[in-house]
Amino acid sequence: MWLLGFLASVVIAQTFDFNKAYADYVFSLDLYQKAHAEYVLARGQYLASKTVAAQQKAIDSTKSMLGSRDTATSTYLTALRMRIRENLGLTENDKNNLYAMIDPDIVWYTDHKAKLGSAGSLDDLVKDSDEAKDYYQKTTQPNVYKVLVYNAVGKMTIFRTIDKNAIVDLNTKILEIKANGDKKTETIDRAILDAQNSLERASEKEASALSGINSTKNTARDPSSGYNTAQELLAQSLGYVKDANNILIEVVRNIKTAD
Amino acid sequence: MQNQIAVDIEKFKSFIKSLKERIKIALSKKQEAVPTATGAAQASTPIGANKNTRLLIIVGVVFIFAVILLIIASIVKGLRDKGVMAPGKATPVPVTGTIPDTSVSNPSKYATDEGVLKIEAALKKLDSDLNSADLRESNLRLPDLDFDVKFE
Repeated sequence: MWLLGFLASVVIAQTFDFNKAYADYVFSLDLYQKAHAEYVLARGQYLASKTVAAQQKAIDSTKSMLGSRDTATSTYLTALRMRIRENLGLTENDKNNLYAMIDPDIVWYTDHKAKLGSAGSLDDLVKDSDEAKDYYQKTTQPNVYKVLVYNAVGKMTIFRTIDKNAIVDLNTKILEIKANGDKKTETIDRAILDAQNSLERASEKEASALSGINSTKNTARDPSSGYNTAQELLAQSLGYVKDANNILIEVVRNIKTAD
Repeated sequence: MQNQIAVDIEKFKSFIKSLKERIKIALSKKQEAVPTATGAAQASTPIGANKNTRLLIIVGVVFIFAVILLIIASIVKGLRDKGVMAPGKATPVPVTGTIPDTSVSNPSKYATDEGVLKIEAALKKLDSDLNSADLRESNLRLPDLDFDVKFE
């Protein structure tokens, strides 16, 4: 029996990927939105009537909304974690540093949700909500922006690696062409250099994006500004990789065409 | 296929009919010999009785053989109609050669080079991925949550 349980847990662990984590997040966000709609209604009724019954209803619906808000946040962070785990462009060291940012946040929201049960009044719940707001703004938001930038850099690394591998293969083919002496290769050689330069520039933009987001302090007034600057740099990096790739496609066309 | 089966059944019926007549004739000949004084009859008709038995055995063997043939024929026909067995049909042979490149008007000897085509495929796939790249990961933007909980 214990063996079956162990196997079941292994199967569950194996099938939990980004898609599953994302589906969980979407589901919990939907539950939050429903709970929030009920909270808005109960709050309005309480502020209008101020009766004991309306107050109790407001307490219950607020508690439910805060709990589902914590769950939505922690499932969102879990989806983000799974995205990082499946990103082949990031090093294990980068991934571990990002987990070290996300994991304590997931624990924080789980603990915060467990604490909500002990709240006995609307004041207690407002205090609990403010605590979550403070943590979200000062810790979670900046962490999420960093993770998103690293995730994008990981993607760019994969793109650049494909072009770099293509250059290695093309150089081997060019050596063969030179040995055969049946085609001029000066234009091709220059184009390959141009492509390498474009990839180098792309790499520099990614490094600037990472440097910018890493130097953004968690106390920054608007943490999204550092994220947006990083995204602009990454968009430039994408442009350079596109240039390099177009050059390489043109090199292949040149090789395939007779002089 | 149904027409074929109907024809087969008709053939089989006529075969059975002729078989019945032959058996009837053979039996009537035997009956003529048996009812008389047993000793005399057995002594006078031993060669005819042996002939009848041999005929019956031959007819039985032919009958069983015909039934088996009929069953096999109908099974094979059924399989052919379903396409399970199609000995007459030629199966398409997969094309293993290099697909001619239409993008180059004046091809070099490297236009069909396997290595070059492999690089080209990788670059074109990357081109498509670059054009659809979503670096901001729009489905993972921060959720819109209400943190302004107040009862005043």
